[in-house]
Amino acid sequence: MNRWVPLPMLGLFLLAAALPSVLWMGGYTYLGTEVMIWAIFALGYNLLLGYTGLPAFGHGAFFGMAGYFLGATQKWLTGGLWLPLAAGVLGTMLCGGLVGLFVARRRGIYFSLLTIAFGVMFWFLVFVLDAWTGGEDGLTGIQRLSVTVPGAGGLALRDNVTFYYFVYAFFVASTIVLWRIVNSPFGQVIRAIKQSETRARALGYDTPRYKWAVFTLSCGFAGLAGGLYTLARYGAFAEPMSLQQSGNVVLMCLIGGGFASFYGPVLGVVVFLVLRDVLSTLTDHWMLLYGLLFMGIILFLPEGILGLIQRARRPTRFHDTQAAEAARTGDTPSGEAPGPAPRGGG
Amino acid sequence: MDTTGMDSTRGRRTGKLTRRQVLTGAAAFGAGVGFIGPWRRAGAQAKKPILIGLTCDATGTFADSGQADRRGMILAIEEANARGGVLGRSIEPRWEDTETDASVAVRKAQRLIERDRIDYMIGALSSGVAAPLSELAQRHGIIYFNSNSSADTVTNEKCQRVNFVWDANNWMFANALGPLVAKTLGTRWFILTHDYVWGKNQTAATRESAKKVGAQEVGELLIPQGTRDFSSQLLRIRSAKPQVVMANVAGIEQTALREQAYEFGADKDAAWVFPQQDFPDLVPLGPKKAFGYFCTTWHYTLNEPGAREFTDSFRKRWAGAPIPVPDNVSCNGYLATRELLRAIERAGTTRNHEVIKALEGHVIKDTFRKYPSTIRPWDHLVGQMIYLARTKRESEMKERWDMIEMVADVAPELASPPQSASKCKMQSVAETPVYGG
Amino acid sequence: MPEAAELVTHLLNGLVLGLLYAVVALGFMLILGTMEVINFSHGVLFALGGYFSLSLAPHVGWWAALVLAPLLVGAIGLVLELGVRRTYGRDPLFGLLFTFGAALALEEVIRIVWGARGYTVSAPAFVAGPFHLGFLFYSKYRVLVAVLAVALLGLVWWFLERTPYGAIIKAGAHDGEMVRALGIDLTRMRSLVFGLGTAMAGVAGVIAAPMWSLKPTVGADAVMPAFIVVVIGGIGSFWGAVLGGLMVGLVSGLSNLVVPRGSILVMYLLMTAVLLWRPRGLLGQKSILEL
Repeated sequence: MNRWVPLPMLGLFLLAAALPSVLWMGGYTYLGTEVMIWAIFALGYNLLLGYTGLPAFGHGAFFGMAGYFLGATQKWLTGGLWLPLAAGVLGTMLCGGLVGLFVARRRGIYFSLLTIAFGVMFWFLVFVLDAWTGGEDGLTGIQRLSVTVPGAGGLALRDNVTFYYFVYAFFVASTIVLWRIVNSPFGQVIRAIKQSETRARALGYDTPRYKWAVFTLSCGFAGLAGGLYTLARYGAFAEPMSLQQSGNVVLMCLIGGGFASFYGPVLGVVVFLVLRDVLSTLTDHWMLLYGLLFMGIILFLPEGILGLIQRARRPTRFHDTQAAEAARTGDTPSGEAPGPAPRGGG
Repeated sequence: MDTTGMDSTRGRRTGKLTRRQVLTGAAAFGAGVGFIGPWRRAGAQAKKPILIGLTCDATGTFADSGQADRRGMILAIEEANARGGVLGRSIEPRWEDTETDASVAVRKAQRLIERDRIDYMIGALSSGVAAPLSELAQRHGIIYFNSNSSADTVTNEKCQRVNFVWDANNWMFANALGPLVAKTLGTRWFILTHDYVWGKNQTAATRESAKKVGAQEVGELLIPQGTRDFSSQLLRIRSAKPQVVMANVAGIEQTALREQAYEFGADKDAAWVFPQQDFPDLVPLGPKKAFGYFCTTWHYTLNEPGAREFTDSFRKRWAGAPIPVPDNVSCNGYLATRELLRAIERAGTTRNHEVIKALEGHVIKDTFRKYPSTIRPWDHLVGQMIYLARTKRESEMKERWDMIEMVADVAPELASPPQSASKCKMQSVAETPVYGG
Repeated sequence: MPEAAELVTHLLNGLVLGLLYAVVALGFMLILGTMEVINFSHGVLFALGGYFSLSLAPHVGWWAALVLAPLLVGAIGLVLELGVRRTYGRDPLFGLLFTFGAALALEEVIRIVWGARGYTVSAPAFVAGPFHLGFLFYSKYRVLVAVLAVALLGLVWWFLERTPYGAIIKAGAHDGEMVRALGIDLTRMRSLVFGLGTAMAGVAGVIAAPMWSLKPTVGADAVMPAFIVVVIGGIGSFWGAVLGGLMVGLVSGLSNLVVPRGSILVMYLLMTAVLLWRPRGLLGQKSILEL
């Protein structure tokens, strides 16, 4: 159980499952659904940012385009729910794969510049193709149809609480899949690429191919999240594709500590969405606070909240490898009791 | 950044120190999301206020107009409260900035409905915002008054049983314009089409109107969004020598177009007709650059019954506002709000089915203009009169806001689209979810 | 079939636009090349230049505003750099994100100070209106824009190529450590470059304001092409920025003639084409930013 679903993850899942009963009291379910959707997006994106070290800055475009693929499929091709959702994911992965061909050979600033440019290009495409996308009006009239789950009967997704659990299923699945990816040999390679791409290549890995694969994968998760988001709002809009919104997912990963921990993005999503909700009711000019917050985090908390917690937890800088090794294997090297566990948890 | 390589891998694999991790995650996830909640819990009082959500823009292209819209609404609410409220309950506004963005609007409207539990919703200037909001409203059954957007679709293909549209729409502006322009300004028309949904709809309506009045289209140009440079378009217009330029262009592109037309002297090449003009967009231009003719529904200088009193109360209430006089936008906001509250009184309940029935077919006599308006039951469009107006020359203006002069008008029966042409297939009242009451 | 007058007008528009893009892109690239920072706030600083000139011009006249507004913007740039400098040497993402946050905050400041609505800015009186050149009417102001842009580009070129401090900046971009070892204050140099780059954005904003009108988001119209110009022209090359700017401007202007709704997209197609042919940009130099 530990290898597939570590304890913290389990706790997270249980909490998310129980949330609607809390939210009902005064919050609102929709926010919880939004959190999970963005968490899927952010976790997938963090594969790229936190694990491979590739600062992609136009990913909002992928999040947004999924909605148009879903909408177009539902309205004009097949109707239904599963096929459009699949179309959302696959269409996005296709575009991601194409863009990936251009960007996989770059890194650092150049990589960022290119992802920005492509992201904005997709944004403009939405307005140019307004016969299909509805332009700035968005693609409305999308439906949350009922789905029949074998064994569980029909689920009327129009009900917000039912929809919450529908999204929850995807959230659980995505998190587990991503955890597996991160802890697989593939995950090892991309972490090596982040540390030093030259060294990884020297070891014989075809790094551009791995970078392309990570990019496309992250787009797949973005596509899933984007499709779910479109269902949540009954419409596909261009707003998440703008450059500004693309920065949001980066901030989410950063605040939460995506560089330091697998769960960082989830925490970041919660903080960000709640903050946005609260700030915008407090003042008209919340964007100013938001921008200042952004700057402050970069300057003072670049490793994010979880990174900070991790750093605080480490009692000494001195790292006793023998004791750590002993703690892991249970052996005692020379009859002494094993020392404190160095650092655990994701 | 994590630089300890192997250890980080091992660290992630083990499940050690889970307690703190779980607590952190739990605390964040739960507390964060549930945090907003308990503040909003409604008390158990018998006479809780009626909450109206105002979905008005404060940022984005329509920011100025959005705020004018809101000022009208607030005035109506305050007047109602001064009279003792509606059905013995006071009215409370809940305002959200929809940022002239459909996606943001949907999100905020969702919040208003689910978290604040508003009873009714009023607002929207951009047609892009109005359509998804009306769909959202229909899903919940919450009555939505679209105070100021003029898209045709919301009263045709996208009509909803809970949605009521208060501004005249593109069809009306084009059709009122057609005969008036052909008669007074000329029949050789050059069309400029703002290349997005609104502009294209407008041009379609203009063409329909041209056919009816026998006007000839001597040329058309598409103006893509983001165009800042109109020198080539102005050149083309000059060489086509039309009598009238039908400029179906809005927003900042219209502002830039006016600026450059004035600079080039092109404003004298032909009679420029803008299909409709919201007053807040004219103000920053000033009389010289706000040249031309346009359609509108109202202005405070009209000498009609009720207009003076309304203007005085508005001026008193909003003395420091960017536009301290009522205009077509704020008048629509005011009337929409006022009529909603009156309908609730007539229905005797806040339950949506009854209020909808109280609204359909109702004739509004005190519209501060020449003719009364009617809330048409088959498409929920408020049938009203249209004025053709032009901007006054500076020498004619009595004060800064006195920019408009009405040149001609069209009565509601002629101005409004006939029922036979309606593409609206509304859900029945029974199909609409019950809300309120 | 478009007439000659129209074709020439569009070409000229494209040229003027291209020169303006070159000025914006050059400022952006100076910062990028010297400090490896993607300055996201470049667009909003462009807008601020325009807004400052809007407020100053009625009091001191247009020419004075043309000088003062960029100075104010450059000062803001210097303040920003105080924060940005903490991100040097780290993952380039941090510099980018910091300036991104600054862009959001500054845009909101514009809204607070000047309001959310758009403003039209008049061209100064002596260049208002069109001039007649045979079959062609062309806006006098645009000619002024072109002249000013060329002058600015020339000024910057002269500074970089012909002054000792310019040489230091070029050296610093190439090898910071060496420059420091030679005893030159790298910190001060970087501040200067940041201030200079942002001031260029500011002056471009002043010049563009009468053409483009002012609204809080007008910066986005300037910064997006800047990214593309830099990618096309290549990082680290002065002539790359100029050439890239001209190409983007001309292509944009011409496509306005043929397929107006795609004119923005055409820029990206151009960028893609250039990248396929020359992955480093047309005149880009090999740098550590690449694989």
